[in-house]
Amino acid sequence: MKELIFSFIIIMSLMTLNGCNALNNYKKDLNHYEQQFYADDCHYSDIKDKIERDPLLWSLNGGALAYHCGDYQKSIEFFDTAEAIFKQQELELEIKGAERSVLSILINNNVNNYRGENYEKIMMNVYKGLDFMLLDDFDNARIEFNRALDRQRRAGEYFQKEITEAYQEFNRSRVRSEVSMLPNSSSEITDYEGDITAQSIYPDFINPFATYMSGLFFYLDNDYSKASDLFKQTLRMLPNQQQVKRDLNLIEQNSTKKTHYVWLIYENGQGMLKQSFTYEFPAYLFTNKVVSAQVSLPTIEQRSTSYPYLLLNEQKTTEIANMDSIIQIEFNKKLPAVYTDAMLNMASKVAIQYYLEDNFAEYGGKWIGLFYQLATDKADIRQWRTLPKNFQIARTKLANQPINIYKPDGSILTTIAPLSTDRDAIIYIKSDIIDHFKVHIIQKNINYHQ
Amino acid sequence: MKITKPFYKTITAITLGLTLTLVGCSSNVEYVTKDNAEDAVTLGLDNQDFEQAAQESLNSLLTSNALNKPGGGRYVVAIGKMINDTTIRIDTDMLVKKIRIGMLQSGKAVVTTAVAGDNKNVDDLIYDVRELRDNDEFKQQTIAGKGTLYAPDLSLTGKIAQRIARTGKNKQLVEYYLQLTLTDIKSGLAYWENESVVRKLGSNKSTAW
Repeated sequence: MKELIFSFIIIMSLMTLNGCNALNNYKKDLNHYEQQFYADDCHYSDIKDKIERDPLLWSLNGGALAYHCGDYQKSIEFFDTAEAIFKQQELELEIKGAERSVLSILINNNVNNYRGENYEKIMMNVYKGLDFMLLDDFDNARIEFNRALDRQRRAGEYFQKEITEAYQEFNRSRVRSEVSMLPNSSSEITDYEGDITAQSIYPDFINPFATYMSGLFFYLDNDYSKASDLFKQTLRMLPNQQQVKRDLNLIEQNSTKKTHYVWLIYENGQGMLKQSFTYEFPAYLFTNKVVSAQVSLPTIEQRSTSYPYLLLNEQKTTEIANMDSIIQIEFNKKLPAVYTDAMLNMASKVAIQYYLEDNFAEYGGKWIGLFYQLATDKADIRQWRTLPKNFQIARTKLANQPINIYKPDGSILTTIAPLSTDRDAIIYIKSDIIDHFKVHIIQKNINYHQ
Repeated sequence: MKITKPFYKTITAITLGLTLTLVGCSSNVEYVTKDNAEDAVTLGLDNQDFEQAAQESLNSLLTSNALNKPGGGRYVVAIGKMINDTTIRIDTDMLVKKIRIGMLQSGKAVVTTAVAGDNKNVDDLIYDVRELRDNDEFKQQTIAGKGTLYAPDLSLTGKIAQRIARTGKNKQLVEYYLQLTLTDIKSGLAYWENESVVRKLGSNKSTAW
């Protein structure tokens, strides 16, 4: 009978491990993907294979790669797949409610398909919006930016408790009392009355770049009323962002048609990296029936910037969103649940070792349990790998051509091919590491029709 | 403190028992099927919404006198830009088509497909045939001559706007505003406007699209 149970456990373990994601080496796969990105290797066959195994993870990363490669239609296809999976997940949550995955406790969370993060959902729609703009399909771009904005609203609700706490903390702080004592004549304050509100707590919880970029889209699509609202929303989050102030002034002074401008959007550096951290509890001090009790947890660490800023002719870029902070806040919010799962996971594996040693010592008992633990003890480090560290913006007149993008040391990063001076334009540059960058140009076709 | 063997056995049994029980009562991923799809509320616009909104707009248009041309005759209407300002991909033709048909059936207006706000509402053949003017294969007198196209008197433009707001703890209210405007092209004056509102209330756990 004992042999029968033992065989059953071994077979179940092998069946569980075989063909599931639990043993996948995501670190290696994601590092390989990142290298592909740096090498501007635009072959998607690898990504397509991986999508079979973990659809959301590789759809998001595939969409980012295709965008980087200038294959905007393919990028939309990848992101559309990702969005359909997000929807599926939300519907499942609707029907089944939240529950702890037992497989993640018995094996590890990698056995479950990737579920993504709120900030990834927002950025997915922003990138899709950019994809459509680059394809000169402003009708569909509008839908994507509207989606990004609704996701911003949902992110605000998701972090409602944290935002309220941060606001209460802000109200108690000295900063608040100092702000309230500032004279009314202070131009920083009087420009936008009541801007020092809970909104200024928001930048780390939702993404000001998504709001600003949506505003910029509506500006280029001649919907100045909506653009104005969105620039104001951005300013409430970032009261001292001078470029956004100037953009809002452009609309309020009714000078949208008089002069045409070019904006520079700069994606700087590499965003937070998820890593695995393993801690070993000295279980052998308490019993000789357990070899090891270890827990693996995800951690995040900052990575490097590329150029600290760029110059659009003479205009220096300034930060509009700190992606690292946004990633950190969401990571921290989810950490208690991740920690609990990891501890339950460790407890279950210690129990397996103990049970096997107690009942099947003659077959290797705890050592088989240890093998199982070592094989499956992996923290979930899956993520959209190529988000930047921060976003920056600048604007200049389109008449100032040729347009050069300068590095901080004054040398030219790139010269932009002549742009039509009869309509506004956006230069979108991503530079993840020094000397590696990609330029995308958006300029709406004047005869645009769907 | 000495920990006894029965103690370990009890703990082990409880842990394994719990985990096995949990394994038995849940699964990793469950897809939405025909059986449980009813639970998933659709907050988007469906055919029925379009039909209803279009009918409402048409009734308003036909009873407004905006299409009653002074001195008789019929107006030439061009279909202008229809802006989809929502989070869902909509074929705006669904809204416009019923109104076009209604206008034609009323006998008060004709719709031109020679010029439109969107290329998809332009019949390319109008111009393709005119390209044949020097083609010997065609009887030249059967090809439309110059100056035969009618310029529109009126343009019909529209917008589908959307407002999403959370109501209560877990609900969201999604409102769609289907707005139409009929403008006199010569004067730039709007002869008729209508707004139909569609409201949907559903769970806030998922997005409206």
